[in-house]
Amino acid sequence: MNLNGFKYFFLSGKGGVGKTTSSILMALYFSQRGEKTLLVSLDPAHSLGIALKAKLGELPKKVEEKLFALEVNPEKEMEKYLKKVEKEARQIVSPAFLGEVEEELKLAHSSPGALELATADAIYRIAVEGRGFDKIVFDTAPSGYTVRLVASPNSIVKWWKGLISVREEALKYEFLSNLKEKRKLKEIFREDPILKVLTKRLKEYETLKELFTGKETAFGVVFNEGLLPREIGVRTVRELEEAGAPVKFLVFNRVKNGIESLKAKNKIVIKVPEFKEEPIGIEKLKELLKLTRWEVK
Amino acid sequence: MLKALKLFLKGALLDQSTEKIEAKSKELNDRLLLLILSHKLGVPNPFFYHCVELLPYLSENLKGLERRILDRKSLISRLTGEIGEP
Repeated sequence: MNLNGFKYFFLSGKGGVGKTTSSILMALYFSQRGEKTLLVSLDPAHSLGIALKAKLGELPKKVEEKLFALEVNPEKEMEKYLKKVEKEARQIVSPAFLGEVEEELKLAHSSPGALELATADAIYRIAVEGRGFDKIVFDTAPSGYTVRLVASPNSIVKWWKGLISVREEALKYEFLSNLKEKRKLKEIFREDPILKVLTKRLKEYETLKELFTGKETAFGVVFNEGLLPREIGVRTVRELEEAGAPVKFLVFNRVKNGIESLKAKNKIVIKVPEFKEEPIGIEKLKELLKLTRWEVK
Repeated sequence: MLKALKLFLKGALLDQSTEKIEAKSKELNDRLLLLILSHKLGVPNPFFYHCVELLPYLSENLKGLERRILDRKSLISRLTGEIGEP
């Protein structure tokens, strides 16, 4: 088994273990082999730009031959989306009802899971728009967060399907009661704006589920020498696997001995050695990559 | 005269025959709205953030939703709920 067979890579692990450095090393590894690679930071506290010594934004920026990088700002994405909905509400909702809709929109901003869903939207968008890339490496936010993101699409797909059937049922009765209706039921379904939104979301979540559990995806967990990163890392591997995410590789960042409690069978182990200084900037990272070993257990 | 007769017949026969079906469709839309706004019942909807996109289209159902849900038992309030506030 090697990592070349996969297209999407998600790196997880406790904060501060070296996820960003590991993702850059991985992306560099692929780009040096001639693969067009996109490196994406999903962490709200971005460190990718600092590590690469480059100013990154929402659009892919070339940082090296065949290597592109971008930083997603979930907060900003959230803001943009809610503004769009608000604008739409102002256009179609009668003033008598607008107040109630606006109140709910305000709630949405701080509703539980909003940031996670905004991140999921970004992953979906990048996966769809990033079809031109050979490899996409995601530097994700800390573990629990990633796990939830992966575990939810399964139940979410069912839930959206339920909403769709309720709306279709309502439209059916509306169709039966409206004797002047000239359109066919199928046309009504196709033109209904609510069904349009629902099926759009359903498609998004089906794609995400496929992305998170599919054959083109490899999840990896980053460890370092400390006890906490180890324990949390082991737990992350277990949680990810239980959620159906394929954990294919482990990154041991400055780890001197093996990790016994970890069944690293059938997993690629990437060993990143101690570096003489902090690996900031592409040249130093390239040097570090030369010292990094890839082992198949 | 013919027009009045037509209207009378429509009111007497057609509307009566369809009003129950129409009420059913409204009830289903209420149910949809309640699934989206489950926090109104004290159950947070983890996907609320993605659902707000639907609210502009369901805004007419939003008004009086709580009252309709709360007063399901009372026939009069249910009827006024369906007709709307004066």
